[in-house]
Amino acid sequence: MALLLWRNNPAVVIGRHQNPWMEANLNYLLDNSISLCRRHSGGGTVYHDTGNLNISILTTHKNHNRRFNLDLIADSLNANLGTEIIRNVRDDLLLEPGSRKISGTAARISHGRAYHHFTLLVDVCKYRLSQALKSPNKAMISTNATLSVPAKAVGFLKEEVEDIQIDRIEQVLIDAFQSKCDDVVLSPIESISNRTFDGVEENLKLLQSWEWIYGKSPKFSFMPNMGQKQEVVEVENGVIIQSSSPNFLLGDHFSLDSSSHDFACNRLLRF
Amino acid sequence: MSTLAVRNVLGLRSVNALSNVFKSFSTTVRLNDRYYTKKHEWISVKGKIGTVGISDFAQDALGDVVYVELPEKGTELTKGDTAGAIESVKAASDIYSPASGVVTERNAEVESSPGVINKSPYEKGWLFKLELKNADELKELMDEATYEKFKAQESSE
Repeated sequence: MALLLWRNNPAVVIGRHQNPWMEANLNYLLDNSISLCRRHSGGGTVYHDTGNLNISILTTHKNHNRRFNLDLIADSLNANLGTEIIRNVRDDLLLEPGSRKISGTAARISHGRAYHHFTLLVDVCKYRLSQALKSPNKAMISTNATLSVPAKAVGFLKEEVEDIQIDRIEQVLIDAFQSKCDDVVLSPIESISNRTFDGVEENLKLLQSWEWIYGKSPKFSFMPNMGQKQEVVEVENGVIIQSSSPNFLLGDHFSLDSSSHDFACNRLLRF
Repeated sequence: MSTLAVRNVLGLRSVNALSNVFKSFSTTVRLNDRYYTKKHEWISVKGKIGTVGISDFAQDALGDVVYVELPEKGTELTKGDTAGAIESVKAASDIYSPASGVVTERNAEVESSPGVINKSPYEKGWLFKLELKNADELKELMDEATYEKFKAQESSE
């Protein structure tokens, strides 16, 4: 088993089969230097910045157990911080009172291995988070893409533990997992390259490509003028394959306003 | 000696040995039967066309399916290649092709109603069809009885 703990600069991360135009306010992202990424695992859209701790647990497919991981984390944090964190049926972690969502989960299974990864909000600007995740285009798009389930309430650990520091949380998590394993090796990851992680550079190139971030969106219909003259734009693999609107040309990459792939790719994943 | 009798006589051996015996005594792949992979996909063959899906065990383990990513028509697949992915409420899991061939059709119904895979993994919930390159590959797969034994062994490990 491997446990990875990491944080990143502001980003909105959509699930494997989601539509970025529905899940995020792409102009807000551009104006606020927030990257857009699509992950390999399923699930919904999350906002990450350095006030969020990312936790990835890598195992064999056999040993993959999300609920075990989440219960272990929740119990350890509760014991250490005096909080009341519970796991719900969707494998979200909620901070009581008020059932505020502080964590969302996703998972991936491939070639006999699996990972479970989840967010943990320690300190975040809720306004920024909600603006980033509020798409103005939702009603205009029709698709089979997976949709996010918005949380009824959002919270973060600092709301309950005023002087919380992320490295204390990291230590709690490390101790919790360490207690369940023999032969533990702890190491900070200084560099990410093919030398240290075989194949990672190819994966990074994929993750930064327009084809992955935008082109992997499941096919969808976009209707620019709700209620008025019904123009329809059909998009598959991010490319316009049919259009009755003069503003959307056949064969073009689909794009709304100033969102562009250059912005998304350039700001992405700097180590 | 029929295949069934041979299996009974060697009932104490491991699953792998049984599949080997099955291979050497059965030279014809029966039409419309399902054959299974260790990754819980199934394939059933009619003429040169194989229909591929995931087993009931797999759909149950996955949970409610919310999206299916299928290979494009015309894609050339080698046995064992990643053919697509199934996203369920629990995880996004790769699906692998049980045989080599060219994709001839994908199931539009599961694309628009992914839950059909949970309700009907063997009938309406088929995933894609392919024109087989080499029917002999199917002999390496498990028949129904062998698959049952394989599942039992996997769960006891």
